[in-house]
Amino acid sequence: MESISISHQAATLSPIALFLQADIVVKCVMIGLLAASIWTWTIIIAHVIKMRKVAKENDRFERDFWKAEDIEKYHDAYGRSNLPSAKVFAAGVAEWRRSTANPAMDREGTRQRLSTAMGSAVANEVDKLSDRLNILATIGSVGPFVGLFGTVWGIMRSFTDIAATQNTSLGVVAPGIAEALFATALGLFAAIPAVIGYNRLTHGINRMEARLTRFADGFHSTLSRELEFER
Amino acid sequence: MDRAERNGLGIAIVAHALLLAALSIKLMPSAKIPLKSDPMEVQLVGEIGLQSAAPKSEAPAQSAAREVAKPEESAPPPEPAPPQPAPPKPQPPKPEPKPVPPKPEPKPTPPKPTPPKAEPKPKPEPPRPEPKPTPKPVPPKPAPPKKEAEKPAKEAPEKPSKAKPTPDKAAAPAKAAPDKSAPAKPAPATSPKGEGSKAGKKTSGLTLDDIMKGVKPEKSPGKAQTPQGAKLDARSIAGLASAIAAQVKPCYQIPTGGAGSERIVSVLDLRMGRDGSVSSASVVGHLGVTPDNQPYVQQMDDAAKRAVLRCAPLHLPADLYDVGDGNGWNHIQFKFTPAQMN
Repeated sequence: MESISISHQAATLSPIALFLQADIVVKCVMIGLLAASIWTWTIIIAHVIKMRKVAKENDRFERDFWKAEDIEKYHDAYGRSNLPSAKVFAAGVAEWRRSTANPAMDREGTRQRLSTAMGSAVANEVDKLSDRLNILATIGSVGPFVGLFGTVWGIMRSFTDIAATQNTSLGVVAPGIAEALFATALGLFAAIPAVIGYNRLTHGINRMEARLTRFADGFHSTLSRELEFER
Repeated sequence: MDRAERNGLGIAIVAHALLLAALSIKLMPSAKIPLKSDPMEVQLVGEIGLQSAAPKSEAPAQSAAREVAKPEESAPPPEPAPPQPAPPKPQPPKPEPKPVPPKPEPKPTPPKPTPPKAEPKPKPEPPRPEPKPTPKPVPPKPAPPKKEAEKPAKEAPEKPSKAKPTPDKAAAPAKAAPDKSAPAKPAPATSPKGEGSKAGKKTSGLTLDDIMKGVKPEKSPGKAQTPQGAKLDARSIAGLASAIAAQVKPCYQIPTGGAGSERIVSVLDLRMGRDGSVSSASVVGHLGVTPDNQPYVQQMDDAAKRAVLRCAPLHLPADLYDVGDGNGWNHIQFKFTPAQMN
C-alpha cells in the first residue's frame, strides 16, 4: 500500500506535489525562494516601468531647459519637479542663489560649491533610482545557495529514509531526491532572473547617471560663465 | 512601495501563479515514461555470434505480431508454392501469436521422438527426418514445430527445401493443415514450456530434445524480431555445439590419459553431409594444452575424432545446414570438450 502511494507520487512532477511531499525545512526554503522570485520580478517590473518613464520625462526636461531663455524663470516654473534632472537643476540654482547673495563672493569657491552641490544631487538621485537593486543582487547571489541548502537537507532526509526502510529501491529514494532537487531548481529559478535583471538595470542606472552628470556639467559651465559677468 | 512597485508585484504574483498552474497541469500526466521496448532476454553463450541476434527494430514488442505476419507475405513472392500454406498460418498467429508456438511442441513429441523440429528453425527440418524414419507422422510434426516467432525464419528456409526434390510438397500441405489445427488448440498451449519438456522426455530418451528446448526461441520479443532465422547467431551456434556434443557423448570413450589430459579441448573441423553424415573430421586446434598434458594431445584428438565419426550421422536442424554465407553445420568447427563428455 505504502509503496504504491510512493510510486504514484514519485510519478508526479507537479511542483505542488513536490512541495507537499517535502520536509518542513525544505518547504520553508521553497516558500522563501518563491517569495524571492516574486519579489525579484516585482522589482524588475517596477524598475523598468519607472526607468522608462523617468528617462522620457528627463529627456523632455533637458531639451526644454537648454531652450529656455531665462534660467530663473524656468526654475520657478519647473524647479519643483521630481525628475532627477530637475533636482540637479534645483540644487545648482539654490547654491547659485546662496553664493551670489554674498557681495564679496569668492568665484573659485562658488564654482566648487556649485560643482559639489550638483554632484551630490546626481548621486542622490542615482541612489534613489538604484534603491532596490541591491535586493536583486542579494537574491541573485544567495538564491542558489539557499536552494542548495534545501537540496542537501532533502537528500539527507532521503538517506535517512533509506536507512530506516532498509530499502534502496529507486521507488524509495527517488521521490525524496526529486523534491530535494526541486529546491535547487527554485533557487536557480529565482536567482537567474535576479542576476540578469540586476545587470540590465544597473546598466540602465549607469546610463542615467552619466546623463545626469553630463547635464550637471553643462549646467555648471553655464553657471560658471554667468559667474564671470556677475559683479 | 510606490505605485509602480504595486503594479509590478501584482504582475509578478499573477505570472508565478500562471506558471505554477501550467507546470502542474502539464507535468502531472507525463509521469509515466513508457518503455520503448520490452526488455530483451539475454542468454549467455560461449560463442561470439556471427550475426547480431539483437532485435533489429526499435519497438519490437508491439510490432512482433505484425512482423510475424508480414514475413510470410513477403516470402511468397519469391516462391509461388508457399503462398498457399501461408494464408492459413497468418490467421492463427494474428489472433493469438503466443499460444501457437507452444502447441507445436507437444504435438510433435508424442508421435515422434525425432526432435529436430524443436530447433530454432524447425520448418525445413521436419520434412527431412520424417521421410526417412516414418513417413506418416511427418505431416503433423512439421506443422507444430513452427513457432510464431520463427515463422519468418521458416519461410526463408522453406525455399531451399522446395528447391530440393524431397518432401517439399508434402511438407507444404502438411504445414497448412497442422497450422489450422494449431490455432484451434490454443488451450493446451498455455503452459508451453512445461508441456514441451514433458513430452520430449516421455517420447524419447534422447537428450537432443531437451537440449533443443533451450535452443528454441522463447517468447522473447527479441526473437520475434529476427525473422532472418537462417543466419547463425550465437545462440544457434551454442545450440548446434551442444546438440553435437549430446549426440557424440555416448560414442566417446575416455582415453587413458594422464594428468590434465581431460582439459585438452580439441577443435574439430567437421564437414558434414546434408543427412548428418560426417565426411571429414580433422583437428585444427587445441585449447587448454599445458606442458603437463602435452604428451596426450594426440591421444585426445584421436578419441574425439573417433567419437564423432562413430556417432554419425548426426541429427541437426536442417535449416541451419547451409545458410549461404559460409555458416551452418555443413562445415563447422566444434570444440570437443572431454570434460563435458562424462
